Amino acid sequence: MMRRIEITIDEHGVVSFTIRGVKGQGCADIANKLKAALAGEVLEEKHTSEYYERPQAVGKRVGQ
Amino acid sequence: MSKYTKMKTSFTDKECLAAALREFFSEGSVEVFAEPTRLVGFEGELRAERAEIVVRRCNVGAGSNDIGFAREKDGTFSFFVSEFDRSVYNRGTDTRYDQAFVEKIKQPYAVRVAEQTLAALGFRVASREKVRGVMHITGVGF
Repeated sequence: MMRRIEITIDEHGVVSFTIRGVKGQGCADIANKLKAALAGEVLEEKHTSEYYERPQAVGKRVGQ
Repeated sequence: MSKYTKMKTSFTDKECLAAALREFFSEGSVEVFAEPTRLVGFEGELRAERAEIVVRRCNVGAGSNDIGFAREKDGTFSFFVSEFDRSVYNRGTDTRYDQAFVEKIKQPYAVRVAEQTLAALGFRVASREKVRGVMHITGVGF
């Protein structure tokens, strides 16, 4: 699934962002990195429903 | 001799700040130094103030002193500007060299920091558009 980050920056340098296609902790990690880089500039962080979803397990069981 | 005043800012990334400043000055006007360098006054005299990002007085205005941004111990940059130059007009920002000038730099600075961060996170900038003064940037990744 394509990951997407939408960022808006107003005339005063106030930043808000929305992260799509990244679930759970992965979303929080990206949000924290964005906030750290934009220190003091971030006003608003929007969580989509994906933020609250758990990542899908990767891999499959083989045989009995 | 016009006294320098120091304004605190929230800028922390030197290259992004220099790039943002370049939007408002002619090419080659914004100088970046690894170590703080002395600012120069309107008569060519070296001033006590030092900065890592400098716009020389000839690019600031007639009878002006250098302006500069200097890194503080907390990592932020402070803006050095003489009292005289706080009343000088900058066409690029449509402001005087005062707090309004610093405010005008915030958006282009944040755009560069945002795009730099997107790249560091493995995203590419798919679109960048300014609508009614607001920048909209979309980063995509797989």
